[in-house]
Order: sequence, then C-alpha cells, then structure tokens
Amino acid sequence: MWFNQSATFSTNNNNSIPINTNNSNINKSNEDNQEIRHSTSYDSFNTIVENSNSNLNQGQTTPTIQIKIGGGNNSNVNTIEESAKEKASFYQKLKNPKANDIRKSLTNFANQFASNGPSKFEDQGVVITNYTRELENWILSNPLWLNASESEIEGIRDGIEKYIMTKVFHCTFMPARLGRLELSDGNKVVESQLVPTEEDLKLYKLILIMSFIEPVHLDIQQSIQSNEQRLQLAITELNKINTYKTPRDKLVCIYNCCKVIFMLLKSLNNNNPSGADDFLPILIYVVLKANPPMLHSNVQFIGTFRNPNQLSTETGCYFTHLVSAITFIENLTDSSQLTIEESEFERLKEKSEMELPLKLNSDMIKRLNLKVTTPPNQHKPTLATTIGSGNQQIRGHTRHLSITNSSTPLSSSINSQPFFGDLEDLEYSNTGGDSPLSNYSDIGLLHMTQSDVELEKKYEFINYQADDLKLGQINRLLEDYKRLVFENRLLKSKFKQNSTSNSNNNSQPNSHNSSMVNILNAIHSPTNNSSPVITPSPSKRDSLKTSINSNQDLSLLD
Amino acid sequence: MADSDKSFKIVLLGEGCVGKTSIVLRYIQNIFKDKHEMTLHAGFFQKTINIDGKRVGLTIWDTAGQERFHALGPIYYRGSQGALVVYDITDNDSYIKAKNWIKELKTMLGSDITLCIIGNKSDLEKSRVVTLEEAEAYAKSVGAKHYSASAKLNRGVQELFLDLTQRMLSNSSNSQTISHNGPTTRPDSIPIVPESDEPKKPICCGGGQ
Repeated sequence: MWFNQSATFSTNNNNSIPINTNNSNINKSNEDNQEIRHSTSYDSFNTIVENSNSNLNQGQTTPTIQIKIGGGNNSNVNTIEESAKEKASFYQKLKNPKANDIRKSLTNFANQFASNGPSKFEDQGVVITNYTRELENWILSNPLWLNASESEIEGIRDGIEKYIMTKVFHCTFMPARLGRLELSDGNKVVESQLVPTEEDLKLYKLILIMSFIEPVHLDIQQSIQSNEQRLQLAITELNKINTYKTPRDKLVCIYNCCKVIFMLLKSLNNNNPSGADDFLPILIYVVLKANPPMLHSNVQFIGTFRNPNQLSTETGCYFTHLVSAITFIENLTDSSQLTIEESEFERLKEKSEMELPLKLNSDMIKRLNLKVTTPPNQHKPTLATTIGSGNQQIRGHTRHLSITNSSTPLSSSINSQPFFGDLEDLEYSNTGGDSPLSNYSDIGLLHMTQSDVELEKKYEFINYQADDLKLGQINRLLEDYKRLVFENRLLKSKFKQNSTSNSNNNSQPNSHNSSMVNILNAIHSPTNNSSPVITPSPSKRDSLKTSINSNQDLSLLD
Repeated sequence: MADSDKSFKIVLLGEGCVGKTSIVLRYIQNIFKDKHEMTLHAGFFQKTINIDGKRVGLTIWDTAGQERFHALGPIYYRGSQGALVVYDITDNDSYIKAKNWIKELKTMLGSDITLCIIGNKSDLEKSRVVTLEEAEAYAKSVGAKHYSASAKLNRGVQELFLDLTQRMLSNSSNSQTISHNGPTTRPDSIPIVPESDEPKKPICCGGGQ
C-alpha cells in the first residue's frame, strides 16, 4: 500500500489505545481484555445523580469504550467515551430546578410505560422513539440547553435512552419478558435470567451447526489463525451483549468486537486500514464462534429502540455489519457461498447436526424440541470398542465377579443385535409398567423427552463438553464409565438369553419385561460385596427395589 | 453529524480487489492533510465538506465485494443517498459486476439514490479492457455518471466526491427527503432475513473473488 500511515491512521497520536497492535503485548495476558472491558467510569455521574433525588440513579457500570482512533481534536464525531461524558452532563443539568418539568415527564413516562405501555414490540418502539424525539425538542428549547452542541445533543439522546430503557427493559426486551424479569436498577442484567425466544433458539441452533466452518472456508487469510487471542477477545466482547440493558450499551459490545477485528487486521496489514472485504469474513467467523444466546432478540431490540439517528453513525455501521453477518449465516444452505467442496460441506454439516445435542444443555435440548438421533453405523463400533477396552478394566477391578465370559464374544453379539441403547429409556419404560420390550429395538432413536432432566441427574456428564471437565471430576467420570460398561455387558448377555428364550416361547412376551426389571434391579441394587466398581449414589440406591438378590442375577452371567 | 446542514449516506460497492476501499482512503487522506475535519475508521468513513457555504456531512459505508456476499447488499444500501460502484478498467468481470449493482440499485431505490460508476486504476491504461466510451455510454443510459480515477496516483478522486456531493444535494432539494440530521423517520427495523424480492445473485457474473 502506498498510503502514508501516520496520516491515514493516527492511532499513535494522543489517543488511549488499550489494545496494543503489538503482538507480544496482546499475548501477554488478560490485561488487554480488562482494558477493553466496560469500565466503570460512571462513578462520578452516579454520585451526582444519586444525590439529586431525581430517581435517575440508573447507571452502575456502563460499557465505556477506551479505544480511540481518529482525528483527535479535529474529529467531528464523538467517540463513545466522549458521548458518555455528555450524557453525564445531561443528567447533571437535569437536576437543576429549571429542568423539573422535564425530569418529571421523563420519570412519569418511564413509569407509565412500564405499567401501562403497549405490549406489542413494534408499538413499543414507536411510542418510545416518538416520546424521545419530543422530549429532545423540549429539552433543546429549555434555556439550560440553549445552543447545545451536536455532541451535547447526542449526550441528551443517550441520556434519555439510558434512563427509559433501564426502566422498561424488563417489558421491552423479549427474553426479559419471557424470563419474567422484574424492574431492577442498574444497566446490567444476569444472562441466565433471560429466556430466549423461538427465533433466538433457531438462530442459536443454526450457528451451532454451522460452527464447523473454518477461516479457510471464508477465505480468511491464514495469518489470522495465529492471532487466536485477539479473535478470542472479539468473541468475548460480542458475548457480553446479553449482560447490558440499553441499546447503546449493547451496541458498544458490537463496536468493541468489530474494533478488535479491525485492529487485528491492521496489524496484519502493515498498519494500513483494511476494508470490508477483509473484515466481514472475520466478523462472520467471530459470530459463529461466539454464538451469543438471544442474538436475534438483541438485534431486534437495538433496531427497534436505538435512536435512528445513532444508527447512521459508525456504531450503526458495525451493527449493520453484524446484521449482515447473521444474514449470511442464515442463508448458508449449501456449499456455494463457501470455499469448500460440496461433499465436504454436507459431511461436516451432517456431523455437526449429529453432535448438536452434545453441545447443548438439557434445557436447550428440551426447548429446541430436539430429536436426538444416534446414527447406528457410527454408534455401533463405538460401543464395541468401549466394551472391548472396558473389559480389561473390569477384569482388573472385579476379578471375583467372574464376568469375563469369554464364551460370549460381545462385539459379535452387538453386531448381530442392534443394541445402541440407553439404559435410562429402558428403565423408564419399565417404571411405566406397560412398555413392551419391542421399544427396545427403537432405542437407537433416543428421544429426549421429559426424562432428559432425570438423565442429567443420573449421568451428570451427559451434556459435558471436554472443556467443562474439571480434574477433580475424573474419578467420578471413570466410575460412571465403568458402571456403564458393566451395565452394558450385563444387559447384553441377558438380552441375548432372553431373545433366545423368546424364540422358544413367543406366547409369553411379558416374561421379557419382568426379566428386564430383574436385570435393571440387579444393576442398581447394592453391590457392596460384589463390585467395587459399581457405586450408585445413596439416593439412587434408596429408590431401587432391593428385593432381588443381586448375586442371584449376577450368576446369570456365569 | 456535527453542525452540518446536510448529511448523506454513501455506499461503496464493487467486486473485491477493484480498489474501492483505496479510493475512499485516498480521498480521506488528502482531506486529512488539508486539515479538514475527518474521522477515519476502517470500513466506515466520515467527513464534512463545505460546498457553496453549506456544510455537508458524508458517511461512506464500505461493503465486502466478494461474490458470496452479494446478497447482503440491500442491508447496506438501504437508506443511502449515494452509491459509488467501482470497477477495475483492466478487468471486464468487475465491470459486469458493477453493471449488475447499478441494475439492482435502480430496481430497489429508483431515483432516490445518486449513482456513480467509477473506473479505477486509470494508471494502468495499457492494460485497459473496458473502453471509456462504452462505460460512459452505459452510465448515461441508466442515469448514472461515470468517472475515471486512479487511487494510486490520486487522480480524479477529489473531483468525483465533490461532484457526487453536489448531485446528491440537488437530488435532495428536488425530493426534500433529507432533513437536518438525516432521515428522521425511522427506517424499518432491519430484518435479519433480506426481503424475498431482492435479486438473489447475478447470474452472468463470473468474476473471480
């Protein structure tokens, strides 16, 4: 590039740039993450407002951006930080007696809206923007704000928005309404209290599926991958979007995310600024990796409640890029929009869809009404190897059980009997009382119903990702694993016996049921003196029928 | 935009590698040297210029030019008063793509938008494959204006922005759609799914990425 960098991008002049473009610095630690974080420079403003009895004590922390790039004093655009100062000054003026009417109107409106406002999203947007515009005009006609500069006007807009939106967040942000959130002070919100809408879930699921997309599929230059940390920073910033209440604060999260990407590009591009050609693919990648829950609702919320004038500014532009990135992902139906072979695309997508339940918690699975399907051809060898390798372990720990029944080659019996099952299903069908054993062959299709919560209680690692696992849990995981292997073995052999006897005696299908109960009871009954491997939790033990002698059942294996 | 009488949104379209970002950077850079007010953030450019005693604010939105992102166009050009459609005079595919953009913009925005077609890389005259006559005739036929420019040599860049701004000013005084701070009527909240009637993809464009 032929541009004079000092002239085009004055990042090194008189600006505070916490994100250092220097690689060694970014690699250093989380310090950069801290720097770009939403800082609490609002303390002073809080004091002002809290002392003013004006009910304006909304702000606790606000995402204030500390990255400043640009023309310094010459700039005719407020950075977000500057506009925050203007907002604080707006609140300060508001406590002046001359602004009493304005203050009252503002508080009245917010209270009225929260109790009696329209419930339809679109109407809410119209009411709030109309009121904001009128109030803004009213304020500007007040002597206190005579000859307000453009940046001051922006501060007024931000101030009004912040005040109203924190007051009515619980009834305007869809996930907050669904989560029955109540009015709370401060501009922060706990993400777990929000309940995603159907659209949110749809998008969340889609992004999870599409998360197999690699930078190379989007023609993102290779060097980007060596900047994992900065990409991670962009992801972290975007993920904060759910923790803020006001459209402006949410926009700052998007702004921060985009800014990090531009800094990253700039450092890779000899300090020359990059255009949208390079930027958008990376933003798409970041959205795929971040996948903030309730992204759809956030975009809708910002689009509806953010002052339209503000959406034509730089933050608005980044917001548009985000909308565009989401749209791109939503339209990804085939491989034509990616640099990838069609067959490879289909393969990866199918795999990703298959693994979807593993990436979700049980609540998500339930809300998405997911049918969890385990492909037989993939599961079969897994089970076989599990049992095969588990054999060694069991042998080591449970020699006295003499379950090493070498006359029954397990893997071959697995191949002949399609058993990909989950014991839980069996157990529930049994406690249900009348489920015939024919269900058994359908276990390959494991329907996650209301039992999935129970499932998680019982197999606590079922929804875990590798990253979730902590060192201290490995023992429990190993125990769980061994118990499952043992259960599988036991069931296998018993099932085989049953199917043999069934073919001899077709007229008594119920005998299956009872024998399955026996097996399951045997599995879950106290095994203190039989196997140190099987250690069901006390609560589980209590709930199990203990009438059947475990030794008796275990002897079936001999 | 600060204290400006008018403010315009300009969208920057064109295939990747035609140098559309370079053109704006070149423009902004010179403005900076002249100590005009400006802000430069990559991907988004903003500046205020004086025309006939009026202060006019320009916001220039860069878009990704790769073919795979073509369908996202409407998200960006919605609400724009001006469009810079850039092609590379040494690359016929990029010219075809530019014509597709013009067609699409005319269909979607009609006469609300002031159209500019820019043949960039005029410094590479020897390798030119798109003749000036043809491009100018095309521009005229669709009510657009054609400009030759070289971002590299800073040739024709200032002129085209100035001319575009003047055209947008006269367009806006005709239609009175622009008010003090840009459109005060709320644009419809931006849907995540683009409108179904938008042109999906130009079929004839075989432009490399």
